[in-house]
Amino acid sequence: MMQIKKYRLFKILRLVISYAVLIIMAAFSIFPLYYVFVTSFSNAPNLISLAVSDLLPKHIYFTAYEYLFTTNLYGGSFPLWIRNSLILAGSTAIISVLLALITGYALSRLNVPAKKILATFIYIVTFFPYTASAVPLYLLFAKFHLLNYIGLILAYTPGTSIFAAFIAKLSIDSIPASYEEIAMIDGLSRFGAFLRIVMRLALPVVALTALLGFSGTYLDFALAYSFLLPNVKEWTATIGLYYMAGLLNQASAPAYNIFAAGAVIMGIPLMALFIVSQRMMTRAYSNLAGVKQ
Amino acid sequence: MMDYVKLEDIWKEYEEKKRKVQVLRGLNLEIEKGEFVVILGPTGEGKTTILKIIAGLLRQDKGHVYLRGELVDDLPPKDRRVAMVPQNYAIYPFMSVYDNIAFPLRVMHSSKEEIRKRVLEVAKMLRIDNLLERKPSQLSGGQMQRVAIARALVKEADIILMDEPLSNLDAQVRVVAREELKQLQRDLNPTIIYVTHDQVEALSLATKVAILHNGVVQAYGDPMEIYKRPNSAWVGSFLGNPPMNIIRGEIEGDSIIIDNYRVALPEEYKNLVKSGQKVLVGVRPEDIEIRDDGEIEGMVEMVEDLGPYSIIHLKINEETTIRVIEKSLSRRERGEKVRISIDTSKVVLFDASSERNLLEQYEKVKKK
Repeated sequence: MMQIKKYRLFKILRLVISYAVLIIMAAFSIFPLYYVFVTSFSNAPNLISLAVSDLLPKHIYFTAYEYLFTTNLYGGSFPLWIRNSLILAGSTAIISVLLALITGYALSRLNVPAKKILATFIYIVTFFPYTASAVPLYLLFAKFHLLNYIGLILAYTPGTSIFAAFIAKLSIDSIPASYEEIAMIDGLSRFGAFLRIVMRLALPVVALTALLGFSGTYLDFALAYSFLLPNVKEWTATIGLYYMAGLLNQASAPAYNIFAAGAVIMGIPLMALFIVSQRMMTRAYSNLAGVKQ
Repeated sequence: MMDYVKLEDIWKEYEEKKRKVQVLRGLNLEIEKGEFVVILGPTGEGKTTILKIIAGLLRQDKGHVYLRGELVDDLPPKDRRVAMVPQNYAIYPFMSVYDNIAFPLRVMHSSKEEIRKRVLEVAKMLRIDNLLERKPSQLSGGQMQRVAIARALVKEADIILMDEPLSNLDAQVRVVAREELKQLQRDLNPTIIYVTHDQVEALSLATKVAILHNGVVQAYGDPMEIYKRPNSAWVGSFLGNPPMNIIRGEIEGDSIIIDNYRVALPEEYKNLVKSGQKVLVGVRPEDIEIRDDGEIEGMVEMVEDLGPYSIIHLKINEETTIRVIEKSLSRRERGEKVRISIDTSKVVLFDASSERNLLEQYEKVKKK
């Protein structure tokens, strides 16, 4: 009897502690988001003017949003830059997916010379932060007249796809080759079987790569800044936001409410992509059946 | 030359952990139209490799593949007009059963009505027309196997390759599936090349069986004929469960001396051997009878009770053990002395050094 009672008490205690930890963690991660969200609807440009009581806003102001959507800065505007960012990030995502999966497929299935060394090398390269290469890339690309979108996509893609290629290899390793073999016998070429069967079966990796490629490019500032600064019409949303919020009042600190509003707007496509790709990942895992082991 | 599928001097080498393995060493095989050929061999002898070479998924190192009388060495898999049922069925998990079966037709760009008609027809034939809307994850092993066969049949390829399609099924389902497959082949009459390590499947399905060992076809022909008259001691001991007894013996006049015992020499071999010649005596366990007036005495070493019959391992001397099938229900004890009699009309003799059937060697000489 005592034993059972003790056990029950222990169980309740364990539950209480784990919930407490989870709630604290959740608060820590949700609070900044909430803070940004609230700030974006305030008309106070600096953080200092926000008191604890302001965490529950009494008035909602749309001034920051209005400013972002109506201001024209050196011939560019925030909606234009958002569009630029989406195009750039989308292209990077698509090219990264193709590159990563083709590389992963080759490493997994084909008889590539020095395959093991290549795979290990790719693995090691993923350890280097790619911002470290911003300066050499700038100097190199300036020589080739590639300080534009094509150059940026060329610079972003390997950063994502080299990491994703390694994951793609592992993922394709676990897909039985008989799927493609049957598809090839049934009338597809090897590349056709790759596009229609392997890509579909490796959907979690496709989704992950697209997500990494998209968010990496979409949120990048350093490389885009060094490549695109002279041409305002080609700016991305991050550069645009930096100047819009920073130049509003040059004497004081940047206008945080504008920063926050920009962050909220920029977050919408990212959020949508996250939801879609998460669904793709879970669904792909749930019907990974169809072969008898 | 009307060989529908022909493999000519096929060589294939694999590299495995830096060691080269010769899987196929000059394999020859000729298959006529409408035959059900089972390639039977131990695991890891390159059975699947043969199918992949026929399908074009693998390229042979040396030799040629002919399909329908044409050389197809340089044709990619999609142009060889064959179908395949792989061992794990490979049913695309992200498509419904209907889409899986329709897939080969969609790739060929058939019209929608044509696809619908063909899929329904094949599904009805295989009795899976009630499963068409399901996802593969909701299918049982037997149903998956039918879907895989349906997908192979739907494009009406007349050469179908099957890689142990029944090995993943339960014993009871397998018996039914085997019978259905046989019936299907009789009705539609495609040329089927079926690979397995299961002898029962080989013997019950095949119109011709090819036994694969050491990279070549060791025996090729009617399964029961090979079973009764294996052309080598290896084939005899490989085919059949329990396997054929291979016993060392010596010819003396009109009889064979086994250990200290004397067995009559079969009629057909009388002119082929001479006194003092060493031979290997091949005799099936079911052709040996336990009786009190038997000519050979042995000691029971082991008894395997299998239900309808028991396999009794009899020790004759230090190096010879004979397996006998006993159908009676009398129980034998270890160490018991038993006398047996060999049905000499069913005995096969092999040359002691080459291990080839002496009768076959004689026939070869006669032909020349």
